[in-house]
Amino acid sequence: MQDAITSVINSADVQGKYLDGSAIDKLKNYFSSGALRVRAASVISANAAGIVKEAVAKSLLYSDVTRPGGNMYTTRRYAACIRDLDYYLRYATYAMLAGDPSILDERVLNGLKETYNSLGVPVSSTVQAIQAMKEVTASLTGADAGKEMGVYFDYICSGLS
Amino acid sequence: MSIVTKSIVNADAEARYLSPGELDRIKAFVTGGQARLRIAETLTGARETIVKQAGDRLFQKRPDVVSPGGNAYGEEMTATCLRDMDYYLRLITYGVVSGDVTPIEEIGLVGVREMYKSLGTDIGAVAQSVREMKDVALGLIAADDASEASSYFDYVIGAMQ
Repeated sequence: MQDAITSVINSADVQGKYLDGSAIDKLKNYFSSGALRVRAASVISANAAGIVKEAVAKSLLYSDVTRPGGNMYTTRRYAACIRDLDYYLRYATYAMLAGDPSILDERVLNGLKETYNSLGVPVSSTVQAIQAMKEVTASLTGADAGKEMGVYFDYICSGLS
Repeated sequence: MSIVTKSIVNADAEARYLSPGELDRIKAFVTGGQARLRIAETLTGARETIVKQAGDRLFQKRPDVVSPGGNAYGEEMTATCLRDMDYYLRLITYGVVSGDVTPIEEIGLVGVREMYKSLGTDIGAVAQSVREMKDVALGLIAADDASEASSYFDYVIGAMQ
């Protein structure tokens, strides 16, 4: 995986270049938003179970997906669903902290769509739940950090669709 | 790798969020970010001076390398020697901004002995050139930043001994 710093270094090194003005600006932005990222990660970590719970209540709990025949029906499937949402929240938090989405490609999205298709998991419901996590997270962390987290929640959604 | 990526990889191996201690270290790292960028910008801006002066000092101390039979003898070989010095200075700026020696190690130190041995270059002279670059560079950097910058030069010198 890369983070905002290693991604800048890797692309400079491929060309044998010192860090130029735009690379330095990217790093400056990352460093100046760093305290915000750390604070958000700490809030999310302390509220992870609550975020998942509330997001499910907002998006899936009262929909067809939890009724007999739905893909979240049976406690086993319900548990698998909230486990997956828990993963997405944790990985989106990692990516937000890193300021780079590569960890999502490498450790979450690679093969995920195919897995869900073969299990018959409805992608649209998954996306709804992730969008609900985005809203709940933003209400806890504040708008600025919420916007940054939103980038990575959206990244997961577009990788699934 | 940077401390950010490193902490995330460790946390993910245990499927957990980052601990308060890990977050504190990242916070300290981003807080010091502006100072590290300042060092990197100074070194980058002065790279020609640093390489040129350090090269002059090296050839004074080690006239054998630019004499017939020496590995930097002849215009072309001298230029190659100065180019390699510039490579190491560039890698040092990468290390400084990422707060970690991994980029230096991965790009320029793994296998370095074998490489210079196969080229017939005395690695002691290369180490000496980095030492000279360090001396020149420290004259250009603010006193407060000197110890941070030194450690990356020292790392390269140490790995070549």
